[in-house]
Amino acid sequence: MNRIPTAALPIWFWLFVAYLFLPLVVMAAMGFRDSNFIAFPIQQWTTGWYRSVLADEEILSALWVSAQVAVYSTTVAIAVGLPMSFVFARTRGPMRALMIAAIVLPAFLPVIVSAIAIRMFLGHLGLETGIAAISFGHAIGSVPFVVIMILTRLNAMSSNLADAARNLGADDVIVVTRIVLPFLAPALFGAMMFCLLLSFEDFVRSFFLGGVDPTFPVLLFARLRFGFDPGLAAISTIVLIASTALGLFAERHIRRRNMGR
Amino acid sequence: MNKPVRAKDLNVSQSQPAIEIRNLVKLYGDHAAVDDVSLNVDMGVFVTLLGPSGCGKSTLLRSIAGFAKPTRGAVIVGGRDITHELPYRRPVSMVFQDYALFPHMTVRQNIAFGCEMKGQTKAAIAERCRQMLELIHLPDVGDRYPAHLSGGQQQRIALARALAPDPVLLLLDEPLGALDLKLRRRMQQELKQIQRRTGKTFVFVTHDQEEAMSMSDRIAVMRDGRIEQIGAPEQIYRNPATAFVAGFIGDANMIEARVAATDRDMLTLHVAGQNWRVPAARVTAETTPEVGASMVVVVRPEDMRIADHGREGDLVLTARLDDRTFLGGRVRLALTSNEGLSLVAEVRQQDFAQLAERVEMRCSPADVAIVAAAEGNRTNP
Ligand SMILES: Nc1ncnc2c1ncn2[C@@H]1O[C@H](COP(=O)(O)OP(=O)(O)OP(=O)(O)O)[C@@H](O)[C@H]1O
Ligand SMILES: [Mg+2]
Repeated sequence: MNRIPTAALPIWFWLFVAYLFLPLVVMAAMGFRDSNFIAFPIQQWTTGWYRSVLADEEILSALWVSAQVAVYSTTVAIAVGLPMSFVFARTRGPMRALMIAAIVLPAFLPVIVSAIAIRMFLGHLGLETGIAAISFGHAIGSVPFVVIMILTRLNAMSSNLADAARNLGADDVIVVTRIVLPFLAPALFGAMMFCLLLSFEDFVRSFFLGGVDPTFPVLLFARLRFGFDPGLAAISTIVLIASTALGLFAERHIRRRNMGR
Repeated sequence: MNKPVRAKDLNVSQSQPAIEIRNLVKLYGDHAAVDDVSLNVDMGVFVTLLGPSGCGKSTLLRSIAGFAKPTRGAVIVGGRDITHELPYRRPVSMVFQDYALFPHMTVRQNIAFGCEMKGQTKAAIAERCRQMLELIHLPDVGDRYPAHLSGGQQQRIALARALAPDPVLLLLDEPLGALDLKLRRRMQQELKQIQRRTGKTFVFVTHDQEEAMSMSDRIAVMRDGRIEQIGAPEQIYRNPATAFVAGFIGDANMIEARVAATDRDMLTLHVAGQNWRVPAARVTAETTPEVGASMVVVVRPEDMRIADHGREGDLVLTARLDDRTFLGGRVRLALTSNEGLSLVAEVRQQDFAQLAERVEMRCSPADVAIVAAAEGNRTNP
């Protein structure tokens, strides 16, 4: 009786993998098609689409906007989330649960709702949309993840660790810089990477809060209106490879840092 | 800057106490975790705070280290009043139960931390690390991370890290609590050796009375935030000051008695239906009890003898044998006396061989301690 499911399991697994990766592979291949349309089979191959994408001013500028937004929003999210985690770690009882619920709530809100809310709020304050607005919008979405990741690590820290350092002659500044922050480094790094990727791939907030300069996903969306062409496949493939590389690097790095534990 | 005082900066003679605690009180709300504790410990002494869970041992230690702020009283270390000193300026080092080694630092960096904070030169720190690793018999682990070491090794690293900055006083809060029994026994010996070799003053916390007995020069028995008795292990074992101490340290037969009469240096006790005369000096409290006072006669199991070896003036209890346990050359007996008292005795095996169902147990007045009957659980004000 056990035999059938056991034999079927690897097949299910590979079917699932195919389902995951086949579209990506097809997309990457399309970028090499020497034609203005997306279609199979590919009769003539070219690297022209890839080259033209990398020379496309509009795309490069959108990537630059996205990069700026990613860095700004990550900086804000860490700057807000880190001290907040310290406060939460110190608070006990129902107040702690309440505070954490309040800060984590945005993570469960439909993105579009929060994006519209922020847009209206900015309008009320008479603030401009644009890079700054998107950055703050992204930061609001990232803070819950920053807090959760850092708090998890902080809770794993023996409260005696800071006392031990103090006992050996470290004042509060040294305790933070030499003990607490290095201890948190893997979580901080992970949170940073996560924020960067979250911001880079966000469409909804960028769309609602963006000014004249689109972020990369917003630009892609705009181009889609003119139909699919192999150029879109090429850009998407490049971005896919870049973000996968970043993700793998981050994962490896975090694992190495965690070894010291 | 006000650097911590360390042992070698001080011109202290051996006679000056390493630590002096005066009437220390620590309240949490209206509960006294430490309740008017006074304690003097001489330089180079291994003193143990012993008591049941929740009696305030950790709180007392944390008050010395500066992690708990005393409500009243004073802490004086190496002649300096540090009651209001910040933790990082105190000349004391602490070893934590979970070791609290810095996980992101190598063993060497861990040990160097205290010396670095004192602003020592790189060369001096390197030399100190080498000495410390030598002292704990782990010369080759300097570049490893704590997570890659065994529990016993981590324990020794924690000790080395605490000793490296040359503190006046070393505080150890149940440092062996996380180790299994066998390793624990070995570490007890090693800890004691290191204490002798370094000549440091150790304030050691445990709730394991055997551990306290085997390691300490002096033991302070604590209960409900107070010190019940302080003294050498033999003294506490032979002359417990209270019924609580007698029951907490080692095994004891606790036989209820009433003072029937007193004269100058003898006491007549009414005990187990007999009048029994004992020297008043066997009363371990300072004051001689009044006639009618409720007392407890404390007899250690090894001082309970079998009738044949009796002498004039012994307390004699006829008892029924309930159970026996062989302990190598000795036998442990569980008995019930005619009066219904549960008794334990430890006798030599050859004596036991001749034992009948009903036996006469004896103890000599010289071997007992007489304490006031327990007042029940003390409630805090
Ligand atoms: N931070 C605190 N806040 C409130 N009460 C505390 C605090 N720390 C300790 N107590 C209380 O003070 C009393 C003494 O605690 P302490 O930790 O000193 O005991 P202990 O002798 O070290 O016990 P154990 O052997 O279990 O470690 C306990 O009743 C405890 O509940
Ligand atoms: Mg404790």
